Amino acid sequence: MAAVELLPSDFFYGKKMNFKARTFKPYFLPLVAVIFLVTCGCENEKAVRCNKPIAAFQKELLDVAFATASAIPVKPHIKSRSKAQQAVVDTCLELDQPALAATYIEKIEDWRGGLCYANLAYYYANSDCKKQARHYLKLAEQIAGEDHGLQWRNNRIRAVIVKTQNKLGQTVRADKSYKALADINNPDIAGAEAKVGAETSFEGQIKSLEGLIETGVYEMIELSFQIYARLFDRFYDDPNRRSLTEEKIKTNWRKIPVSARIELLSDMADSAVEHSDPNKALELINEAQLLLDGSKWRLEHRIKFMSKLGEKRFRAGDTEKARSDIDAAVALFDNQKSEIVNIYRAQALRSIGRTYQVMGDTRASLSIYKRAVEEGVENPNSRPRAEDLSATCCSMALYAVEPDAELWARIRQISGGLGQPW
Amino acid sequence: MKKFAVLLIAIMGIVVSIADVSIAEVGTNVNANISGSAHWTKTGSPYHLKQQIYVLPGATLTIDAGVVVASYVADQGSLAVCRGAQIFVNGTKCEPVIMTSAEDVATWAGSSVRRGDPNNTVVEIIGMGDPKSGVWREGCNEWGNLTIMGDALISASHYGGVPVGTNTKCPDGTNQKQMEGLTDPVNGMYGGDNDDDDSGEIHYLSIRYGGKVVGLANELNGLSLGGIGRNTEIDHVEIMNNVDDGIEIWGGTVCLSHINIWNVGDDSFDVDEGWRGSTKYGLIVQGYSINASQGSGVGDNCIETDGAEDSDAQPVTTAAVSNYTIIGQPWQSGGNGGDHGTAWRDNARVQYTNCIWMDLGEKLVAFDNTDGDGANGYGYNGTLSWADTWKTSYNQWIGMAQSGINLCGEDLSAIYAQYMCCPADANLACIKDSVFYNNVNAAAYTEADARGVRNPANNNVTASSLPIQAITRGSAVVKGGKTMLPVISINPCAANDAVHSVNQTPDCECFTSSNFRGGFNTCDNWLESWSAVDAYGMLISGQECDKTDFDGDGDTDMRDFADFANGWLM
Repeated sequence: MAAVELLPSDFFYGKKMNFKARTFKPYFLPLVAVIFLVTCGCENEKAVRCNKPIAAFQKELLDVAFATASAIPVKPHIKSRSKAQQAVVDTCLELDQPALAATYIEKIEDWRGGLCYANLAYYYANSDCKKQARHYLKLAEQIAGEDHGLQWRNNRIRAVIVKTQNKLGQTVRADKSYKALADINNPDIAGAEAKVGAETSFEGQIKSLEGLIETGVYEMIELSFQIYARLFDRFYDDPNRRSLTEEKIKTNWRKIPVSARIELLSDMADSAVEHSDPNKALELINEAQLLLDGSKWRLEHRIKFMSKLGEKRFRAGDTEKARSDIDAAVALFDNQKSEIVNIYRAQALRSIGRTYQVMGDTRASLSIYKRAVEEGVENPNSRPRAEDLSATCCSMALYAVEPDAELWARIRQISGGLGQPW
Repeated sequence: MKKFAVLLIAIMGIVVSIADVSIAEVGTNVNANISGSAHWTKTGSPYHLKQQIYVLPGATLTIDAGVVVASYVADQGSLAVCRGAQIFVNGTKCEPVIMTSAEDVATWAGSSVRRGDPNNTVVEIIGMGDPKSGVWREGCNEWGNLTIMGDALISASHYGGVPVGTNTKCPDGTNQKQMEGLTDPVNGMYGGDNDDDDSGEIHYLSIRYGGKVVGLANELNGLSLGGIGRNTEIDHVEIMNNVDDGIEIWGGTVCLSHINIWNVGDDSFDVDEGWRGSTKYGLIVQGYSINASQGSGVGDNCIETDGAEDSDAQPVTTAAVSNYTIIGQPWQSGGNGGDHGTAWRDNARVQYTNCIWMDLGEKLVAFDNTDGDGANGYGYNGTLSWADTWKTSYNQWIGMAQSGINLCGEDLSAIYAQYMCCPADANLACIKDSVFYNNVNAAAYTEADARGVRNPANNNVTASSLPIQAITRGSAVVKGGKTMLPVISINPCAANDAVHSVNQTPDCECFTSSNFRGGFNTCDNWLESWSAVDAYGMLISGQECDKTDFDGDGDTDMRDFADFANGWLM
């Protein structure tokens, strides 16, 4: 029976548009959909208490990814272990698998469990599933109240809690939580995050952002550009404001890393594609390409950005150059991989594999993912091996790249073979 | 007869063997890089670093509580943790991990050593004595150091006025630099684009008598931290008698707590290349490690802060130091005492809160402007001037929030939690809620006053009473042309104006608040039991903490009830 190829354009999700090419058996989707409708749904009809349908292999990849992450010993590697576990949970949420995510989160033993609960609560709040959101919010609050050694860990959980409370309309609680968070540094900003101003304040925003940049404080500058990018998206259909925002970005961005500038341009290109403006998207991508070509990088970073821009270019419609760029990334890896420390090789390959899949070339994608799996075991220690295998499985699940029998066997062999030295 | 002869030879062999064992070196030699993760235990202790040892990317070195790493002078041993590798130093208050020289071990009660070349140094540790004993000696440079390299952002576009490789001022997210004293062009690099990087954990580690460079013609700091990310945990670390700086941090976002730095030969705490972290609870005691020039044996600045290389590069040092007790060298005659409390260079921004600054040889605030290696100073290329740095709020964006300007739907709180590391309501550079005592240099407060440090709003106190419980100095000695009054014993717990601060130190990205000045409250001397200062008998005991004295101010009152209630209600 032939598989049905669903094109990337069928799977645009949200602002970031993490589209995923998926290959399912034709009987699979209706069957899962029926099961989903019978068994799922919370008090709201749009609820996503249960997992949305994904292919069995995706679920299996997620399970392997989580099991592999969980194989990392708590002592001394609890931070590495939890971080890898969190990455699986994040992937679950991207794939609309909240129930599966919840089962994984229970096994996370440090502050990241709280962060994951908060993220899950936010996911449910966004899905208008308030009961579930409240439930996981409570669990997140409990962990946020514990001592995790360094305050920023608690703060990261609390930040998502505030965001979720606002989403749920719990304004009083949100204000209180926000104040607790804000008190850490300054009480005067309490409640500020809830203030979503009117369009008329655009000029004031621009002025304030310039003030932030003038401080010369790196975090302030980085924050400013994040906000600029959102302004660009928000006012895309207002040519004057959009071009003013773009001008401000490019006037001031000397103070941020080139990598951050490329990310900025990529986000802006996404906005252009979202607003059906492929020419502008390509203009931005070409500009990012110039930045990439004009700077020296660690090879794994260069390959990552080559892949990213290839993906953006493909989505903007320049499929031919996108393909040649990503092929060039493979050649670069082949020719110079000895320059990449072995623990960073698999991540470079994952970015390529993902892009091939986005471009619809599943065979090339699978081939690259196989190489990523092998490169991930070059280091003699199981911690980086586990981190790489888990990340590769997540990436394949997210982008719906089904391992063949040979790769499944290898994945299981590596996962099962983890052990000393860690 | 023949059988008897064989038996005799065999018995003699056994006797020789036993003799060999009885005089054999104890411990474990480490003579190769660590590529597969390693675990150092008390059974294998002491460990001898026989050369520059790298913990290679992907590998983890775990060191158990109570382990001693003692290297021989002749071996030039040193330990470096590469980018992508991790170290876990699992010392405890009762059983710290000690990284030192065999010369130090030789002073411990019960130690047995054999001496030889070069210069009658220890060449074998035959029996290791009590790590909680020993004698302070004039000495350093007896082994290397602990260097950790990470993947967080650094600002290293220039050095010595010339560009570093292809690094940029922005930076490009991939700035990296070769670590001082290391020669390996791959494994000796630090810096990257991951501020959340995790190089492991260090708890209760005493580093002594080090600084000997292995590969290049420069000195090593006691603890070198290059591009270390905020997921790395460092607390209860001591540097005693190093030839160069005590701790130097280049870039990154790591936070440190409970730091004790004594008698190092250069700056006690040195920061450069855009460190964006914080440190809380510390004791710095300036002095000397050997009779050599200032900077190579005699202490220089207590805290030296460089912003970025160059001054208009990013990231720039934007850090917070709170609850430190900083004790300088006060000799004044002939201008031959210690150096400054704080030295500021290349656009550095540091917020000092709830500290004690006492016995400083020169200035509380020294405006160096540049680091003297060709970089430009404050105000260069549109950066804030020196004066404006002391007037500009870290949190100018508060104004934006208060005026109700929207953030395009962006969740400010999320960004706030992820990017802030300093007290937001303070200015980029400040010294607040601190005690100044016995800083008698004619220019001690000149620059500080010009920056408004002693304005009433800053809640600083220029005290007439000792802000710690006890300090004893030895007779004046001249070292490296400077007159030193070595601290020979101390009880650093808070006294007088240090017992209560006006405000609590703000909760920061890393640490919770406290309500006293200096590194210690009135009764909790966190140096006890694990530090060289205690082992060498330099710590004077003080009062025990009352179980109901929650804030450690020496009495039980409404503040304690408030602390208790807060904790209970949380």
